[in-house]
Order: sequence, then structure tokens, then C-alpha cells
Amino acid sequence: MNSLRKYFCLASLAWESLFIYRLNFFIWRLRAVINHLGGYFFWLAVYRFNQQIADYDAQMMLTYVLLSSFLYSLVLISRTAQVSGDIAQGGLNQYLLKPMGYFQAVFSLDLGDKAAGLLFLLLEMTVFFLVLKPPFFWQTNSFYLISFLLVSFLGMFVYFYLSLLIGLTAFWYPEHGGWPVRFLFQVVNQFLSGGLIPLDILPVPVFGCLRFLPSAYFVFFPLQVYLGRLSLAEVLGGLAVLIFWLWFLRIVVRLVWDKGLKNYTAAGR
Amino acid sequence: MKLKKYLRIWLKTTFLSIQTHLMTRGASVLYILGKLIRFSFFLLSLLVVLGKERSLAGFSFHQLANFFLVFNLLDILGQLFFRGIYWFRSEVVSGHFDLTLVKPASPLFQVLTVHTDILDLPLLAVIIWLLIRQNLGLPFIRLVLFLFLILAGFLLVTSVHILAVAIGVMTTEVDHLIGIYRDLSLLARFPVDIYPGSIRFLLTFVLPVAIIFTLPAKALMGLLTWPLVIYALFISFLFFILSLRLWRFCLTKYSSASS
Repeated sequence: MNSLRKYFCLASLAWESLFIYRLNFFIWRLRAVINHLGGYFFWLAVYRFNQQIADYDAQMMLTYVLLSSFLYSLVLISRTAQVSGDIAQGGLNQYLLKPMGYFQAVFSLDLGDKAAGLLFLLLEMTVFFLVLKPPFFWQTNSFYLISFLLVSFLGMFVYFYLSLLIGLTAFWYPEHGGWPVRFLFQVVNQFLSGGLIPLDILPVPVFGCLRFLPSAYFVFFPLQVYLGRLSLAEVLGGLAVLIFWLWFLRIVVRLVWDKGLKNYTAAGR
Repeated sequence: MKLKKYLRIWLKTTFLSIQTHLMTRGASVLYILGKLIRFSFFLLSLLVVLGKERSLAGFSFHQLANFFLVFNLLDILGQLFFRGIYWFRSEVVSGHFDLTLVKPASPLFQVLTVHTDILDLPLLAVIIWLLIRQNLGLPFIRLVLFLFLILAGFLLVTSVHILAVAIGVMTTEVDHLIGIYRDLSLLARFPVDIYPGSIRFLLTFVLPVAIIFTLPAKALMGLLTWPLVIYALFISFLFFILSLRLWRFCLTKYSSASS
């Protein structure tokens, strides 16, 4: 119980630290709103002149775009982006010396950020729905709703380990605080996760390959579940792939961490 | 004479930037690769969504590709020349900006051009090549008009960066301001005609994002009226003069903190 309390403290510290620099926080949210509005109006314009894109009608696609903001806040906002900096600049020392696990500490900080991001997204979306009244598809089937939440949370864990793995490359490649590798990862992940367009719009052979990659489970797959576009067997199959990636990445991260620590020189401290 | 001096300063800082990038060659390759992949993925998405036969607000895929390429051209020119302003906040906060002020050259010029991001050059080359390929056989008058509006757009991009550093001197908020500008400019990856009237008005007459990115592309395709051309040139000069005045005013408020 005591061990859990320290991680809870870290999560609440992450939450509080967001509100210390209020202008920063405000601008963070303002930028998020601009991005959401940009995506929404683009797709709205696309459907004003086209009835159907692949097999998505306007309501389906706009629901996809709006809910991807939720998944961005839940899955893709992550403190794991700071891991490479911790390793490259020696900030890891302070965690190694404290009686807590590094991964658990980063995950606790993650939770604080995600909670703030989701809360403010909820407020912004409420205003958005009241003002613009978008054509949103409300899923009423409890199986799809529960499955959506389940795969979203599993996706969050898979992203955590994958992003952690990217951060751990700084043990061997600390140039620019590990940022070049992360930049490349973010660029590729944005597309492969379905953050730009739904992956099933792509040519069938390409989609056939991409659907098994972990990135597809961060945005695309949960939204397919929410929209009720998958059969029971497909949802269960996706869950199996997610669980596989979670198991596999957890093992790889642990191995890389153990090997990396032997390489760690605490440079900069 | 003055021009020669500033050209020498710019060449020197650019040479230093090249040396810095060459010191970390692996990182430079990854950045270039990331930029090229991001551009390709976006263009691919546009092609997949709109294809050759669909249209967006009456614009064909060919025309939308022109808007997207012109957006990237001006966006990259801004980053190529003015990347240095991302370091400006730390200069002000630490008081190192004092050292810039005592040098015998315009502090604004030094702040804006302290780092030329040569890593944008490969993508810039790709964009210019695609633009030429897309617009072979362009009438001469359209080409001249396009180049004029690119210059006007670049003047506005410069003005936005001057505004950001001017406000940065007083508030130390540079990164966020440029961040907001970049987010707003992303709205202009497509013609602003696709947005509702209020947003279109905001992007054309309040924040001149449409003038920077949309009008040059329209000039390229012969979709521009002369009053809009004159308006664009007038706004560009007005913004530039106002931003210079604001910079001079903000400089008098510099408190030289921490030094």
C-alpha cells in the first residue's frame, strides 16, 4: 500500500506542475484546440463535396476524427518522451537513487498528464459539441463500448512500452538528447496509428501489413471497435494481437533496460 | 556596403551551422529522413483521400497539391532562415542577449539569422522540383505574379518572426507564440476557401495566414483578382513596418535580467 502511495504522489505532482505555469498550460490547450478544429473543418469540407470516402460516410469519418482527439490524450500523451533526455543528460541518476522503479515513476507521471489532458479535452469537447453540433455517431451497443474502452487502455500500455523502448535507445545513441530517434518515431507513428487517415482507406495489401503493427492499435483499431465496424471474431483477434504486443514489448524493454544500464555513464552529472 | 557586411555575417553563421550539423551526422540524417517521410505521408494521405477524380471545395487534386507545395515552400523558407529564434528565449532569460546588443550589427538580424537550418534543404529541393513539374508551361505573367506573392508571403513570415522576438523581449514567450503561428499556418495547408466564413475572414484579414500561403498558390493557378494582389502586397508591407516598430519599442523595455 505504501509503495503505491509514492506513485500516487508522483501522479498528483505531475498534475499540479501543469498548473504552475498557467500561461504555458493555456497555450498548450489553445494549440490542441486549433489542431482539433483544423482536422474537423478539413474533413467537413471533404464531405461537403463528396458523399463517401472509401466506405466512410460523413458521420463515421467525423466521429473518427473527434474521437481520435480522445485517444491522442489517453494513449499518445506520454512522459516516456523524456526518458532519452534523462539518460543522455544524466537525469536518470535521481531515479536510480530513490526507492522506486523508474518505469513505474514515469508511468505515474504519465497518468497525471493524461488525467489533466482528458479533463480539459472533455471541457473543450463539450463547448465544441454545444457550438458546432457535429454529426457524431453515438455507439449504444454495450459490447462495442466496453471493448472500445478495453482496447484503448491496452493500447495505452502498449504505447507506453514502445515509446519507452525508443527512449532507451539513448543508452547507445545519446546525440541531441535522443531527440532525432524520437522525432522519426513520432512521424512514422502518426501515420501508422491512423492519426492522419483511417488505415483501411489505404490499398488492401498495405493495410493487410499495417494492421498487425502495434501502432495500428493506438488510434485506428479502438475507433474501428467504437464505430462497430468489426465482428466479434475481429475484435477478439485484435485483442489477441494487442496482448501479444504488450507481452513482447514488456520483455524486450526489460532486456534493453538491463543491458543499457551496464552502458550508462551518467554523463552530464 | 551594409548589405555586404550582413551577407558576410549570414554566411559565417550558416557555415557554423553546417559545421554543427556535420559534428552529429547521424542525427542530421535522421532529421532529414523524418522531414521527408512526414511530407511523403501527408501527400500520400491527400492522394488516397481525394484521389484523382474527387474535389475539395471545387479544387482538383492537382490544385490541392499546388496549395500544399506552396504552403511547404514558405513554411520551410521560414524555418531555414529563422530557426535561430527558438534559442532566443534562453538568450533573454539568461541575459546573454546583452552580448548580442553590444555587437556592431543589427541585434534583430543577429537574433533571426543566428542559425540557418540546412537540414531543410533536401525537402526544399524536393518541393521546388515538384512545383516545377506540376506547373510546366506556366504563362510568364502568372510566374511573375507568383514570385511577387512568394516575396510578399516571405515578408509576412519574417514579420511574424519579428513580432515573436519583440514580444519575447518583454514576456520571454517566444516558443509558444511561434508554436501558435505554426499551428494556425497548418490550417493553410489547404485553400482557406474550405473553412466556414468566420474562420476564412479571420485567416485572411486578421491573421494573414491566407495571404502568406493561399494567395501565392492561387496566383500560380490564375485564380487571383488584382484587388487581392494589391491587398496582399499592402498588408505585407504594413505588417513588416509595424513589426519593426514593435521590435524597436520592445527593445527599450529590455531589462537585461540575470546579467
